[in-house]
Amino acid sequence: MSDATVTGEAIRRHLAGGHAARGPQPADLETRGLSRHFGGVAALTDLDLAVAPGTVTAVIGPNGAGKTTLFNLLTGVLRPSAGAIRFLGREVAGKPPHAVAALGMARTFQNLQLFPQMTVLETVQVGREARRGAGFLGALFRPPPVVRAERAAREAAREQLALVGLADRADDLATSLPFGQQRLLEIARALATEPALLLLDEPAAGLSAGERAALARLVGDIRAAGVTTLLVEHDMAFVMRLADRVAVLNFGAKIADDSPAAVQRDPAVIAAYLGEEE
Amino acid sequence: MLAQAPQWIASGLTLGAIYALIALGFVMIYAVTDVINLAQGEFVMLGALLAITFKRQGWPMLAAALAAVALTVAVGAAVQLLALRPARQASVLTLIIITIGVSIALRGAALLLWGTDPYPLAPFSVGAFDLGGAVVKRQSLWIAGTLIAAAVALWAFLNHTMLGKGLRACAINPLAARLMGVRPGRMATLSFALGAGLAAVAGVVIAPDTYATYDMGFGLGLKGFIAAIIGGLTNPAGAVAGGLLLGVLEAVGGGIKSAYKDAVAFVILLLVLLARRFGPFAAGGAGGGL
Amino acid sequence: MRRVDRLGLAALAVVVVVLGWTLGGSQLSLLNFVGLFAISAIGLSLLAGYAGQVSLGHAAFYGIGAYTSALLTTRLGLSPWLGLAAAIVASAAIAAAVGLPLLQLRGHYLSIGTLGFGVIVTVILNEWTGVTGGPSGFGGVPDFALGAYGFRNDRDYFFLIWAFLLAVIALALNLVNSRVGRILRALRGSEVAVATLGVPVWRYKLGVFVVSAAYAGLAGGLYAHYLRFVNPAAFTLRVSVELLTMAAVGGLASVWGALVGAAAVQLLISQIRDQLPRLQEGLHRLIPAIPERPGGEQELIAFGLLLMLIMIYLPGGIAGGVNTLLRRRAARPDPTIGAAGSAAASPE
Repeated sequence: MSDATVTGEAIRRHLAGGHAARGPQPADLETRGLSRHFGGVAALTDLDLAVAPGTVTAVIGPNGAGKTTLFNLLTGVLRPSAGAIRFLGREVAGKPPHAVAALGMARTFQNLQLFPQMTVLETVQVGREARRGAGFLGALFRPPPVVRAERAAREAAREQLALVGLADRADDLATSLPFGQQRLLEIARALATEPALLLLDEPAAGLSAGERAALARLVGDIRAAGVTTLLVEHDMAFVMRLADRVAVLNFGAKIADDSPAAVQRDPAVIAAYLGEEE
Repeated sequence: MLAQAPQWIASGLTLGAIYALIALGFVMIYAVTDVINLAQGEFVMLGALLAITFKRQGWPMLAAALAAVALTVAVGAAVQLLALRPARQASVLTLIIITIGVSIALRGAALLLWGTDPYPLAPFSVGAFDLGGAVVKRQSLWIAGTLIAAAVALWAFLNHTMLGKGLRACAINPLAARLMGVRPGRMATLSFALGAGLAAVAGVVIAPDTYATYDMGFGLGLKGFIAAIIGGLTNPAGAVAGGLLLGVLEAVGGGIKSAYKDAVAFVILLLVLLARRFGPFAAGGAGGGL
Repeated sequence: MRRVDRLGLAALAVVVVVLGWTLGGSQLSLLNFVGLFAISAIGLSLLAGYAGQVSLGHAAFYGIGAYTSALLTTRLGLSPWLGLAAAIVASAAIAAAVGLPLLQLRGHYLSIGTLGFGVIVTVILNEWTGVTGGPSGFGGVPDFALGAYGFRNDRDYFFLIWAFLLAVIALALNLVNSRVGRILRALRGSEVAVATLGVPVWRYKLGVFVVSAAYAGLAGGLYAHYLRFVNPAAFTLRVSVELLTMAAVGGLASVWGALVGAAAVQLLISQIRDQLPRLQEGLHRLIPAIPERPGGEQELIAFGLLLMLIMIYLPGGIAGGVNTLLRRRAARPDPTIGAAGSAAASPE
């Protein structure tokens, strides 16, 4: 997968392809007082978080710190118990997932959510085609415009795969890929929606050192393409090289929010991580 | 019309008690195994037809009833072992379809054994009496008494025996139960045995009120299932309440226009299902880890 | 549509022509029912296999189609072709109306909800005597005609039904291999992931529900004119279960599988109907208490056992099994035919 030496320019060109008018505009995201309880358990408490346009922001924290809950709240998979989420200047808290995604937010999943029985290419195609109308009649009767649109989408999806270095696996079953490539495929699927904000849920988990390096390059390229990135990670070392800003969660509350260097020196952060066995 | 109200309530509660018994069986099975057992009604049919058959051999009623319930319990356990255990990794929907297959096969077996003839059974006690303007058959007292006895016995079993506690543990959290030394596989078999037994009891006590036939189970099973859904599907007390409520609503609906009696139950089913529209998006979502 | 599918359609067309000219009336009559059930089963396989939504009330849409066309042609004197179109539209429209609330339900709750809908439709067909003729239904439904040529016998209807079947297979294959089909298959895999890509999930669920109902409506309309008669018994829950069995036997996520399933189940049922009385006599001789002639639907037992065994041991159905074999040989998976371990593994 390390042949995925892509440039930000290539990704930018590609992302702009479907949205020539808009292009991927840098997105900003902000949460205020964001909270979520499950029964009596607080998974996330009163979180204020700001993601500046065009940056890579990382949220780190030990297991169970509330990172995945945060993503589920941002993407509308879960409703917040309290608090506000502003994305591109719009309030999105409580909106259904597809509506949030349609604004330009895409995500990957910590526990991969690939589609069984679909090829790598089809998986990316779904990402590309997700936001067009349902069009059942067109699908049943396949008039020529529909056929042309599908061919175009397939070609675009192939290019997308090339960007993450999966072009040669296009016709394999998605779930037959090695784990690291499955993670890349999820990123490709998310990028295929031409997002303004990309959310990566523990993208480095389970990857080898080489795969991590390639992933880091890819994230750098995505930033260079102008896509704002928010990633949650368990592994501190991985994000320190990548992130412009790092927020630290522990037991659902933010305990630090600063530059990577400053966060690394923060005694509260060190305590939180040392408290864990790692 | 109001003059008929006591009668509706009395006959509704009688039928409702039957639904409640069947619903209790549903709940036992669903809570422990997450299987919607659409063969539950066939256990009712087996209870009724077996009891009648033994009675015809000259057995005393009580012995015939006990033997019928015992045999049905064995069938229930066999269904779990032979049909559901081999597919325990399958999805919930596959399991439903399997129970439909079981239901059809049991009905077909009953057809081979008993044919299409309706079989009568003499009431345990004959006669009727007047209660606040309603005519109540003595058999209805047997039905009500059976429901009470079964509910109390089930409650005692679940709360005061090791096996019962094991069942409850599995219903709450199979993984934790396993760690505590409970064996979920055995509990699943036990839950089917119990569920079948409760249904068979319902079959025995309802047989005198209705002719027993090979296809009597289907409708009764569905009604019991609706009662269980009204009661929340995992709550035994709710199942009893749901059964009684459904019985009364049906009696009232059927009293107004008897032809639509069956539709009443399913309209209620749809209303209940829609009223309980299951929580936030992710709650039943496909993916784990959310 | 893939190349193999085009070849399949062409081959099937040839087979239809050959069978149509060579077979006799009773065999064609059996095949006509295979065709009618296949049309509905293909719709059901789109819904259950590809989108993971199992309907236990599909016979209701079959019945709505049959009664719509039968009523419009007998009462209002509409042409059977218009009646057939109305049958499709009526089934689709009712599916859209009931689907809006019902599809809020998930997994087995949806199945039970559709089951409830099916029972209610049966009750209405039985009880709304003034319109439906009650339990005995009504006859006098006119035949189709093309110009001066009237469709009259089993052979005429064989060509008509199987022409429609070929058409709906083509449409279904189009759908499955389209953008919409990909999203439906994706839904079965992970509803959450699909939603977070920006897909309004409910619209797709409703869409495929409506399409599958339209398929059943078409089959129902054809049925009414073929038999010239409708009654509620043809559209009960039992038929819903039979349809589901056909789709499952073939392989829930396979258009071709649904056709194979419909054929296999129909042929099997007719075989058992012939053979079972002998078994019964044997049982009777063995144990005299067992009645000699049970009457009724003796094929039930085999039918139930079959459904059970398929779901336990071959959850991918015949198509899934064949596919697995091919896959082992070619060592290259065919993505468009789903294996059904996950076929029914839809979100709870």
